[in-house]
Amino acid sequence: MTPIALASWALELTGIPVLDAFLSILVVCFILINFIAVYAGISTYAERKIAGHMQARVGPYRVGPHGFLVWIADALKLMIKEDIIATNTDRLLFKLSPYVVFAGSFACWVALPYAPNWSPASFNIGILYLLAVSSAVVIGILMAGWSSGSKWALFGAMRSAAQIVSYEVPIGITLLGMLLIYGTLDMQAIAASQAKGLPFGVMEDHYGGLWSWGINRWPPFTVIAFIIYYIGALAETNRTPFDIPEAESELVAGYHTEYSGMRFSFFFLSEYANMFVVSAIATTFFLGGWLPPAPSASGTLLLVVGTVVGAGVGYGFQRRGFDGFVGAMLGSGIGALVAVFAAQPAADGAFTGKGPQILEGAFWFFSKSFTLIFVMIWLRWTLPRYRVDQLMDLCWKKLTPLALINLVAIGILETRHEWWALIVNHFKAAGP
Amino acid sequence: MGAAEIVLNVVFYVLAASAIAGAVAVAASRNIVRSAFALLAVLFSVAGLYAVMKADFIAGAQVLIYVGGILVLIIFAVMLTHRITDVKLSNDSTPGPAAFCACLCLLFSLLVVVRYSTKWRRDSDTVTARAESFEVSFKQYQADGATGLAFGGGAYEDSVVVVATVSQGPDPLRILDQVQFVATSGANRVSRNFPVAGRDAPYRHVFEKLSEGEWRWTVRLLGRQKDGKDEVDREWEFPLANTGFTVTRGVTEPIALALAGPYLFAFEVVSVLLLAALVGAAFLARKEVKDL
Repeated sequence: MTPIALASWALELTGIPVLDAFLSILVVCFILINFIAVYAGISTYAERKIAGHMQARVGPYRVGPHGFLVWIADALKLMIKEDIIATNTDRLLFKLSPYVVFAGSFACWVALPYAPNWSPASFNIGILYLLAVSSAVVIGILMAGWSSGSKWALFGAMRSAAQIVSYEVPIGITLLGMLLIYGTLDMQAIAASQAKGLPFGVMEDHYGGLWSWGINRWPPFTVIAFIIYYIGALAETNRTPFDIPEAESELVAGYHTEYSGMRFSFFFLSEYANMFVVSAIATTFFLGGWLPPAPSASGTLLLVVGTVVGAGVGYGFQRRGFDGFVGAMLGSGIGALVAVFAAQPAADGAFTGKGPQILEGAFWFFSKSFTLIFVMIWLRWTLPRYRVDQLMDLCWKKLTPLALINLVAIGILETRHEWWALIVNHFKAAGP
Repeated sequence: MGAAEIVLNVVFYVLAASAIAGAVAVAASRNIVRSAFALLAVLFSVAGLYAVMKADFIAGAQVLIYVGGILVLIIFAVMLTHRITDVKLSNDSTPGPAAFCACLCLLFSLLVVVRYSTKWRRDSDTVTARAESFEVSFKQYQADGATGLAFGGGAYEDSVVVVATVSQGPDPLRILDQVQFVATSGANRVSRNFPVAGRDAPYRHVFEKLSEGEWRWTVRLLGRQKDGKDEVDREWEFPLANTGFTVTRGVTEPIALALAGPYLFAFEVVSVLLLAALVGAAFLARKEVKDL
């Protein structure tokens, strides 16, 4: 059952099917757009709070307990601010661009697999759709930069567009490599197909929990793919260390320099919405989507225990310092592996998405995505900013070739049976 | 007309209107940057039209390539050209009414050509089967007619229309009660019964929401037969030769198979052409190094 079905069930009040169909679409969009607003508000709070703690400050503290309600105050402030339009602007495009940018990131939200068999719109071409509609953001940013009639805004827009268009290349190539593994573009099917298998393509019928996830499928290559994707995602969302489009020290605020009030907040909202979208794609492609880290409910507990015990034993062996850390990491890895194997007999068809598993699936999906968003925030307050030429150098001379090599490697590994058969048949034919 | 169909119609007209409005804005705008941005509306609407025609992959590719790549390039080129907004763009030399008439004629001839050269509904060939004194002729096509379906082919959409005509030879001993269409795919079985409606009457039914897989049609006639003195219930089954077809969702797989199969050579040639264009662009854009 999809939210659309739920909404149309709730709305069969008018009795006119056409009206119901339109209303259900409206209801789903309404729910989503409000969810985005609340999520973006809370993540701005998280961003400020985390920044504060990382810099030994307390962060926002006045409004609400520990300053938790500051995002509502911010939103109210942005809404009642004066809407300033400078004289030198192209008024039509200036007014239009925040909506284009926001529409581009909002349209992505309808295709994400939030829970087993539960997406607002289930597409056959899921990931292609996501990559396609997010390109509206680039156009919106260019529109904003040009129509502002200000050199800061124009420079920011140019940098941003060049950066996004460039980083789409390594992102697309890495995702292509992962698509070779899954053999489908459908986001739900991609998430579901990470329930089985172990690294290096062994024991393909077994539920391996977190060892079956995309990132562990062909260890060196899929991990590299994840890292390339994540770096590209940082660049696509204009996050630090790739936030040169809005580099405060050089460009005031980049493409949204001239915007104020509600129009500015649309850009802001879109940035946070985009962060979630790229994290959700990373979650779906590499971290198992809505799948839990262990093949059964009891297995999850076992996994936690195994990881902690393994870490403790590893730390005990290596005592302290860096060796202790490495020991703990190795120990927790081994503990997790053992725990997943121990949970094998209890594997309950590992998440086919029936019944109450929808809530559980949504829990895992959102916790993985929010973890990735947390890492983005963490990086923002840790790393300095790249220079434009360094950024392009990284993209075209390092990430793109690496992604291509990765693609070839995954392609060969995925079709290894066919290659092997070809070689064997060749020698058989050549032999006596 | 079902609710989904009405929604689809409304969406189609909205998209068509916005595509045309965008195109008019591209042509009519005095500001060339605005023209470039108006292309966004055109390209998105055309992608939407593809989606309405169930060509989801084409729609995605359209947005990805045209909006994400080509439009960004166009906007870059237009924005970076020196003083492009100062250029006075005007088409005053064109006589208005004459141009309008010329456009109308062109549009009309285009419509005529499209109307008569397009095979709007791809029917399957008629298959005829005979058993005892009955003859069944059988035909199928897809509900929306956008993508083709023939016997032994594939359906990219889930609703299929079946039409059968049943004719009876001069045999008073056999009386027909019902005509049954059956579509089977593994354990899945969909059927529809019709009461008999006169001689040579066509029986037509739309099968909606067929699940994915290989399907086969059969037509069964239910009736009675005078066997000596008693009337016995009987069934005549018509397993029709070559009536298998596949239902697939989306067009990704057929496109992939076509590109990696019959069109592989053309595809590679086009990529070589693009590579040549790229090398040429790099050559033209490179900086001249002068010996000092």
